[in-house]
Amino acid sequence: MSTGLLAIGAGIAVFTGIGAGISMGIATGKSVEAVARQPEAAGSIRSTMMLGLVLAESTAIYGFVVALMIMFLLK
Amino acid sequence: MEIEVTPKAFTIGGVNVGESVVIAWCVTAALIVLALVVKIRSRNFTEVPKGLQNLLEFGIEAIQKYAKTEVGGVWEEIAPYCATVACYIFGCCMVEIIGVRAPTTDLSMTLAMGLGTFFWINYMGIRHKGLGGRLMHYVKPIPLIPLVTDIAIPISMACRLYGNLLAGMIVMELIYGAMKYFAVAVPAALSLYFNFFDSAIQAYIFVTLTLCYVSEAIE
Repeated sequence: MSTGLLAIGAGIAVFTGIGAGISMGIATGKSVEAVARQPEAAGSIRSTMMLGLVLAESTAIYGFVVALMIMFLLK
Repeated sequence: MEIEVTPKAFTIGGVNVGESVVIAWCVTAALIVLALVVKIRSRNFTEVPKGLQNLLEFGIEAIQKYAKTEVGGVWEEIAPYCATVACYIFGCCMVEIIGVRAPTTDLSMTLAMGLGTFFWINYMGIRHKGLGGRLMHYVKPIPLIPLVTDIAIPISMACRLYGNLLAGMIVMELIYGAMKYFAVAVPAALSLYFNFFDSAIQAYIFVTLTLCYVSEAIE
């Protein structure tokens, strides 16, 4: 298969980053709101936010791993 | 410039082992030696901590407290596993500083760690709810969907660790490749983020997710 098509495929796979970026932004914004409203709960809000961010980030990572596999293993 | 995504493989005595496997053995040996040194040093630990003892007590208390807040009463069973995994992931990432490839950038190693966590989740679930209680959650609220999410746990944990650390390694390789002979202070500053911070965060995340899944399994 030609390298150009592989590169396009890898680029499309990394588009998963869009969803992850938006969701991480929403999660962080909401947690900032929550901390502003209840500063005493900052610790538990932070740990919950971290977990949410990690789970959101993993979708971007899946896209990245797929892109890497397309580029290096399908060649 | 060539970036190897899959680590090199070579044979020792007819058995095919990867480069990352050998490095992982070295890390394990180094961690065991470190543990023995601490064990020997712990003979003359005193009631009032100072120096090394202070550092150790701080770390161990932090992990125990964290496990306590996440899983509650059963923290004593899961905290040692969490500390081991955190040390191992961090140690495996740290070998990148001395110029060898980190074993965590191999999917087979991260998958093994994901399977370890998977084993712990099921072990704790069966231990605290019984085999029937553990199997019950496959049928009780929503049938068969938990089967899929359970199988996804080791795969998602493996891919997360692998992807994050491989991304860090590739970025560092690209910087070294781009700067060629002028790679002096800039890669050092960046490796502070991509080697130290990133691997510490990944170890923390691995522990957090393990505790989270375990608390879900035992409740």
